[in-house]
Amino acid sequence: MQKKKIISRLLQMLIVLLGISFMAFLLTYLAPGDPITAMYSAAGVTPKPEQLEAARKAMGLDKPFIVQYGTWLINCLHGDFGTSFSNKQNVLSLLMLRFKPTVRLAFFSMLLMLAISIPLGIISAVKQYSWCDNLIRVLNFLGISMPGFWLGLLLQYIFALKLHMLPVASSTLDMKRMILPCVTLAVAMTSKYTRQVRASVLDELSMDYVIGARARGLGKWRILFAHVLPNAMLPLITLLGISFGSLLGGTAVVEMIFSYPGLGEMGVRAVRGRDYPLIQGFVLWVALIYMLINLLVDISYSLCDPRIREKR
Amino acid sequence: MKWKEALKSRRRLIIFGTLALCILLIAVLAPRFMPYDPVKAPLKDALQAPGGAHLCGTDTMGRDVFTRVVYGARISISNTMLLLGVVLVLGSFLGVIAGFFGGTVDTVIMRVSDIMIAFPDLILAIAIAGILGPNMINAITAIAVVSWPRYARLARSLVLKIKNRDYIYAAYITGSRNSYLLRQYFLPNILPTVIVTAATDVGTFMLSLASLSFLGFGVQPPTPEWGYMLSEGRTYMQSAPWLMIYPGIAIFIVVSVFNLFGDAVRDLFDPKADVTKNL
Amino acid sequence: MFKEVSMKKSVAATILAISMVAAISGCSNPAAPAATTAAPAAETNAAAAVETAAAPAAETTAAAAETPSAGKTELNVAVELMATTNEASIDWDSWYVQRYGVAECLVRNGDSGSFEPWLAESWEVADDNLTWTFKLRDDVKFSNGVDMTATKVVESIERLYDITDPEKGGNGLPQGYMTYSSISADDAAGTVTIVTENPTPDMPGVVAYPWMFIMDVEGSKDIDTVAMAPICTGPYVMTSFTEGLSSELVRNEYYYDDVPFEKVNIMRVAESASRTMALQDGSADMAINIAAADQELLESDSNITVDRAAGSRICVTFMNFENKFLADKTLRDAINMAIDGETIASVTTRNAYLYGFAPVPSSYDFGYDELTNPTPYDVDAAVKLLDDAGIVDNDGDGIRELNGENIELNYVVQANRSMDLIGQAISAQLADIGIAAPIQLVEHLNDYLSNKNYDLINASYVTMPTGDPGSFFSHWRTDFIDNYCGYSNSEFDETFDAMKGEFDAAKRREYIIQLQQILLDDSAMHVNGYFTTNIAYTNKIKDVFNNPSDFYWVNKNIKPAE
Repeated sequence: MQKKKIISRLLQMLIVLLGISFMAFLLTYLAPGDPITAMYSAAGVTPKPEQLEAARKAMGLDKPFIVQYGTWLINCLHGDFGTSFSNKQNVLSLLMLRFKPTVRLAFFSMLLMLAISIPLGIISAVKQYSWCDNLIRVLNFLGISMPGFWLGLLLQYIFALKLHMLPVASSTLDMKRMILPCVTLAVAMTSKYTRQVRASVLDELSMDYVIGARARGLGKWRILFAHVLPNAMLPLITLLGISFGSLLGGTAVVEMIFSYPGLGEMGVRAVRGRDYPLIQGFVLWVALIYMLINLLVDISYSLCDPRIREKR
Repeated sequence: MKWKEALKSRRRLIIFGTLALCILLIAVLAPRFMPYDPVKAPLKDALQAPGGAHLCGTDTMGRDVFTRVVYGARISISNTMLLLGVVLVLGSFLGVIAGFFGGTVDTVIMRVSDIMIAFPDLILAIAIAGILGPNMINAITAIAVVSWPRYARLARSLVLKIKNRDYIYAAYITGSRNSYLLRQYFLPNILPTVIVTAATDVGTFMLSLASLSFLGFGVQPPTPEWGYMLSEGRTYMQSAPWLMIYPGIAIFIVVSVFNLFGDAVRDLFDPKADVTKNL
Repeated sequence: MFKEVSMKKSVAATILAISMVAAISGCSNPAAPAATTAAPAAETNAAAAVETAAAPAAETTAAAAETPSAGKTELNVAVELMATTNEASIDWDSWYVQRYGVAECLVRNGDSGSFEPWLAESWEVADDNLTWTFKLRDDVKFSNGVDMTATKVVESIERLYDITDPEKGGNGLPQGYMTYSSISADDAAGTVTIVTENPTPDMPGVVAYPWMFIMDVEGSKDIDTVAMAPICTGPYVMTSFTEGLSSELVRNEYYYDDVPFEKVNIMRVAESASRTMALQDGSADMAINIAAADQELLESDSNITVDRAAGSRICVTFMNFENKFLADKTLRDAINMAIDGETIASVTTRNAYLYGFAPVPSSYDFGYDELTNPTPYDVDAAVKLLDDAGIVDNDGDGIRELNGENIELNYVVQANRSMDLIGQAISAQLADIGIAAPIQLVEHLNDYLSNKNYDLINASYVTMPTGDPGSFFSHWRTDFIDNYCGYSNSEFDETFDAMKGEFDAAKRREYIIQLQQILLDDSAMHVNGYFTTNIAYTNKIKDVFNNPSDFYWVNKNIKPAE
């Protein structure tokens, strides 16, 4: 990707981030109830009226909306996302703390998904309409229709409780603790992704050059691995970025189920507890991650696809 | 092979359409033949195991789980349909306006939809529903807000496809008003595709609503809703697993049926549908 | 062409490979990745805590699960909640610092209800009822080896009162229980003298309250008490704290008594079902607060003991007297009579609550047996009461009307300590007699309470935080700041004021009984029952005791079973 394009993408991202920040701020502004009482409430304290007024002035809540938004935005640019109502800690440091576990969870889920869906999708496409294909398609379908939260609960019930195979409580985030959440996340994504792989490979297989190559006497496997697969994988890279979005959403639910201390769990608790600074920070942060990932994906896509490189 | 596929999809449409209809009928007729009340709480019957008088056991308030699961279908399906309707209408409307009028209207609508798309939808829905307050209307609003962009884009692209055709110009020049053009030409063009997309989305929307309720941002007790029933059942995983199993099975079955139905509908209109567009 | 493609591909592949290696190395050595993630604020203690916590715990947790009880050196505790900070002056975070076995107070709530010496050997009050003298133990050292002197104790208390001083913007919580006009130390005699501003008969309870724990102010100067516990005198010392996940403690080498374990791991396991599982599969030795549903399950497991105690915590349903319907006494009486408290407590909450109709729990000697309940459970009587008063359903929608309007009450409920179950049950029972009270689940009650933004609300209170329930009745005293229900009764106010100034225990008891009866006669609220706390533990450890005050979890008594 050209530098120019990257820069224009970054600019686009900035604008979108601005829009999201505005929306996040607007949301909390529109929320029923008073953010100051919410702040004290989240801390479990009942303030006196004078304390409320003082706090309100200190946080600049008596100023018009645009001024409040502007101040908050400028603070954010300086890295000050505010202080969490319930934790009294810096929102940014809280986000940082929870960022790593969620990234690990997302990363390994994605790895698991790729490891399963790519081979399955290829097999399914190559052996189209065979019993293999049908079995895989049925499994896919089940995976898509399965509610993620139910799957998580079931897995917890079976593997942690009944079979005692995995620990339930631990003070670290080691691999054992991550298996069930990763599998839960991977199942839903695998089903969708396998379908894409299958469709993409099928598309490639139906192209003329395959017939041509076959006619020229090239071996089946050579055609598959050297030509068809590389081409088929290209559009799937972009989809990786998009599915990352549903992954981030999915971690919220999965983290709640498995009490996994990641961004999603913190976000849900923040929303429940009306911890507005934390909610705003969380929304912005997730948006940023998502867009960065998509940018990276697009860059690597253009690196891999010679057709796009040549277009400049 | 194509005609075999087409026949297969017709058959599939009938089978799954019938199944979906059955589910709808069960949902609608539930009050007539369900023996127990889903909301009244005979406290003393709490947490009875499945069997005997209660096919699927009772919950913490003594309510029959089977009855609540069936009533849950009413809630889930009606809310999903409502959500679908809102998203369809809103998304298509905005998309058509954007495509038809172009210019600033188009840019504004598209930028806003970019912002929505640039965001993991469940997270935003959680934020919206959580902040506005937990009830079904807000949950529906939240998911509608994050879902309309897809439909808007679809509608817009369909409008753009035919906007510059000759017959549109012809109609315009001969004095047809915009509203007539929209009604007579554009709407029939976009409706089939949009409705097909909606049909394939029923399952997803149902799951999204259930997820929001599961997290506590949707219905409030004592409304029987599957997602919420699952979250209530978590604490009783060991002592009363039936609280968790049956609502889950219900969601799974209903979502499956509607997904199958949606796929069959899609295949009907476009047997070689580009699956890659469906993420 | 092939070369170009493969070069681009190898670049992409290398990027992928590098990031995979980074992630995998991050997985095997959890301490490393703080550098790989963009973490400008990684200098915080919290990040440091993650680094130190992860590596050693990985091996030891595994070890703890496998070693037999002989030679058990680690205690694994599964808790439901963790405080977000370790600072005594922040809300109720001090409870956790004490519960983990890190901090101690001058006085302790005894296991059987009376007050016991702890850091103070003895105490007495002078005839003026204001001057309290605490004689300290002379063998106490802080975990940094520094002696605990009377001066140190005074510094610790003064620090708390300074930070929480309402005039300086503090939360004023300790001041709500006791304010002192002077506090002084006599290092030679080892005594601390506190002169209270008002007579405070529950002074031992006041100093036993968790936020009064004694810390080494000087020694903790460099500690960020938000992210790490300060230097205290308890049997265990905190070495790491990861908010929302875990905390690790090691033996305090300077403790004045034997400390059975080398290490204590506190693990946050938010889901009750998971805590139960943790006990069953051995990843936790003790678990705090097992849900009522699982208690029966665990009790039938011969390896596990569930120790329950009914403390002084109650669940009360406040009625908002400013609501136009609830101002009517007949309605309130009917509401009380329509609620089957016994069944709700024993069946719905599975004995998480012990039913009782009076504000002060029956297990304490404050006249429960002398009180009369004017509105016992009787649905037919409730219906008759409403019908006779003309509060009937005229338009057939199933809801009775009062003054021409459907009776609809906004019932605010928090999903905590089974209060949501109680709320649902009450809502259903009220619906049965024609009163609509749909529940609204909320996360935090405080602003609903303080803004009186409810018609009915379930609240959970510790009625005797300092051993005396007197201050609990301020919730009904006219114009008091914590009167969240708008109740106003002059007879109640007079009795309350008299009780407040009374130092004699027997007379106070009389006043408290009167106060309870007034509230009961007025149907001012509905008491749902008294909460039972529990600690469940495996047979790998022993001498675990669930203190009714709920202040103490890990202490020096818990030891490995032989």
